[in-house]
Amino acid sequence: MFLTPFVSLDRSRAAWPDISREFGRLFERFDADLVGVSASDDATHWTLRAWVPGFAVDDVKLDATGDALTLRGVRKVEAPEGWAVHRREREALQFSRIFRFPQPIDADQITATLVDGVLTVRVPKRPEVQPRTVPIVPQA
Amino acid sequence: MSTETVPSTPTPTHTYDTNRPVVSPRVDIYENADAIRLVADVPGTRDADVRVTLDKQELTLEADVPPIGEFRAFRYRRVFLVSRGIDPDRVSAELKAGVLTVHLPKRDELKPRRIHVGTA
Repeated sequence: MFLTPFVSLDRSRAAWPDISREFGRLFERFDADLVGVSASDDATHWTLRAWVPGFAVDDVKLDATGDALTLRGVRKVEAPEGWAVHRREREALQFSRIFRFPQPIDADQITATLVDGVLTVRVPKRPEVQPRTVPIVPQA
Repeated sequence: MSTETVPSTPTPTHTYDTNRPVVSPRVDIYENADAIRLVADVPGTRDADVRVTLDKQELTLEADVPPIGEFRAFRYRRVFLVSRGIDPDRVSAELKAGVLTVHLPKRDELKPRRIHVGTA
């Protein structure tokens, strides 16, 4: 488990619109040793992005339960067979993050793509339940 | 009358787009008898945006990353000095899943060779 300076979404639900700016600033210190995950939203979806170089599709797991999405992944870094190591900067990466949403999420509606080492997860927002006026029919 | 413009500052060898922050990617370096291999984490990089150049002994790894979601465009860049023992004509690079691998084969004459010991 990494200790991470990322703001926990559990505590900061009220500050949701500020999260992407927070992550933007942290990203500028990219050489900090972390799997960066950003969160943003628009009218129809929440979008999570994780920077996961060298991860294969099998190395990442997404689980949706109730109102929570768990994002987990492991990447091993090994010296290739028969090569001596001069410098090692890339770390084996392991992350596990839980994101709680203000409404239950439907696993069937979630899409995730892994392209060029960036994992993008899109969670659709459910339409809010609109108040409905109940018509009163006068007795004829 | 001819006018000759003399530049007041020397022409820079590298120009930077100041709107694009530059990030130094993490790199592993491996070596065996035949070659040196560099492996760099450059997530967000697409094939078309990678530049690997070898100018004399200076190896430059560069990749321009487009804006992704709320992240603005930035550039990965790192420069290494490689020994003269590298054969520049056979340097190759591959980008896969946001990881750039650069293969630097050694010149043949610098590889370790077994010397045959003959009997008198």
